[in-house]
Amino acid sequence: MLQTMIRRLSLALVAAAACSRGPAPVMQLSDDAVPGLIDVELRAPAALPGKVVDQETIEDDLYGDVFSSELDVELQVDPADEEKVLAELRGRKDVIFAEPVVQYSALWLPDDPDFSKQWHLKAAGAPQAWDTTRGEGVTVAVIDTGIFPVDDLDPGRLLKGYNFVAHNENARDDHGHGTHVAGTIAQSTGNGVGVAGMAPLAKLMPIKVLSASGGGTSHAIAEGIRYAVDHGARVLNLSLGGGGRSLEMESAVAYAHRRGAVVVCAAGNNGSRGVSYPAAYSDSFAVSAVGPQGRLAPYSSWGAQIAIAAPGGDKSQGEDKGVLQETIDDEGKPAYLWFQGTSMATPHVAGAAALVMSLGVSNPGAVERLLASSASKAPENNSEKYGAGLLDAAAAVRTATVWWTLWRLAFAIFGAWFAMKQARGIGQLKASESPGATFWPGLLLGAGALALLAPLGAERIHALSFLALPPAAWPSRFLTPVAGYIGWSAFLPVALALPARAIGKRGLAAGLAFGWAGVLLHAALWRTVDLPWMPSMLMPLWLFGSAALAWLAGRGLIGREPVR
Amino acid sequence: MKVTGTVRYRDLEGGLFQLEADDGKRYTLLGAKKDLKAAQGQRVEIDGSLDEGGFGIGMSGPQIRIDKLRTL
Repeated sequence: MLQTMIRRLSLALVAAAACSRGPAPVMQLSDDAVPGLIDVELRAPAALPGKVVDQETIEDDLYGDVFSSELDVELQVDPADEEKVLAELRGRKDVIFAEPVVQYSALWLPDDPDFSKQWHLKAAGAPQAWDTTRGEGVTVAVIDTGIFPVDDLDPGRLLKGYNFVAHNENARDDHGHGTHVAGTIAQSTGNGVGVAGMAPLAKLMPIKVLSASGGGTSHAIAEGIRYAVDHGARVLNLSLGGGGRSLEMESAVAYAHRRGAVVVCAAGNNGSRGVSYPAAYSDSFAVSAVGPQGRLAPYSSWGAQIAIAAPGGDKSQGEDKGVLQETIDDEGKPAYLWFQGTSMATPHVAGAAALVMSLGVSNPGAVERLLASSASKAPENNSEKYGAGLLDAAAAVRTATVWWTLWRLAFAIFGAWFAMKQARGIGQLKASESPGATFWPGLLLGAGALALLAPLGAERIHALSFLALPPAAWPSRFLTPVAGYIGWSAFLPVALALPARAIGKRGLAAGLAFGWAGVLLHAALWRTVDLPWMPSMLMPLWLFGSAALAWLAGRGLIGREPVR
Repeated sequence: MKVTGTVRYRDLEGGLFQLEADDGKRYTLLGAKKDLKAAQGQRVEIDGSLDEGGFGIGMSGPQIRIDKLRTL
């Protein structure tokens, strides 16, 4: 029924467009068509060449008769005969129209004119992810040849960086590689210009460590890594590599990871087994490259260290099977160019990492596990070539919102049930007594249940994008990382308990506390959160302890003082 | 070091030049982009510094930073 309504609405829109601009072509069989499904409008009931799936009487003032009703039928036919059946139906006098049923997507699709050519962003699952988040609040460092401020990069999202080749603050690209990589991460999207990027609202930090020739030293790269992390970058994109294992660089990568950054590195372009450095370090997230069919690109290196595969292009199949972004050409002029390489695969993953981190996941290990566990199945079972599989940013974002929220809710509800059982057991809560009408809304709020609605398009109304995160994640995400101590602790549930009791809002505060406890417990078990200065060994302890305190706050609020 | 071989263009990472050296090795060439463009497919002698484990965008074998390039 809903489908029919949507179809009718879209038909009306098409018709309206047709009226204003002259007749539009009638819908033909296309990739968007649902195979074997035809919509037929009839003047009266009649025999049809297929199985009737759905039918209803409608008044079609547009194509039918104004003063009578028509019959709208959804017909299932053999997909192989669909074209023939369509032609036959269109030739019948009692048929007002017949057309293939087309899949309409609820997605927000950007108006960048050449977005349709970016098969690689779709393959990486970016469009579905954009309905939930576009990477706001996360800084991605592009440790490369620099970034040129081309038109299709938002100048407001381009941070000041550093040039470790010339040792100054001018990190402009004089090669083209870094700008292309930056475009894949955060090209301006939905601005009606050029192309799109994976995480268009993320900030870009240009770190120039490679000269105009595209080469650089291990020392400069190591310096660049440390600088980026110390200046707030939470994702580092290293679309570079070499065969030498530099201990200085290895130590810098370990430092970055320990300080909360995901270090995404290109596997190398040797077309053989053997992952280059820094991708081969244990703290790096190594990316191999695939072409449009999801098969390993002929140039991509592979090996045991590969974590994930992402689109890097395969121009052996044609120029437009590369990765399309805006960059500068050999003359230094802005141009939209197709590149291929494991360097192009890497920023798809870096962008996906930024999307996930904008949802409040701050532990780099959690980001890596999430991207790996939500990767889609590779065309062959070969973890040396594809790691965990093919990058699927949409699945990662869905897990971090929908699935994790369901876990948080389950923990919260279990905690509340257990607390009530206990309170009843010792007579603090009568069997017939409930904790109050506002208890459950409080619990849903505390557990961040509104994130369940995020995939419907929280990001479309940008002011509502905070709903994709549990309230515990708001302070660190929207204030500063240090404010994370307010959210990722029992501070608020405990602080609210006393005034809530005084003003008679016990139920609401108790629900909130149990919801909060559920979120904290989930963070402790999934290791999703890091806090500044907190040693990683202590983090789970902190979260478990905070969850227990939040639960105790809730437990204290639901019971009356025992009758003496 | 001095090395001779044939200059090849590879459509990787936005385009890079490599030397198929006479000793059978493959080197990624850094610098002198304009000269390399002109020398595509030709035999050349390159005078430069070898960067065996060197880092860059090529990620496909040792790199040579070109000091001098002479077409043979």
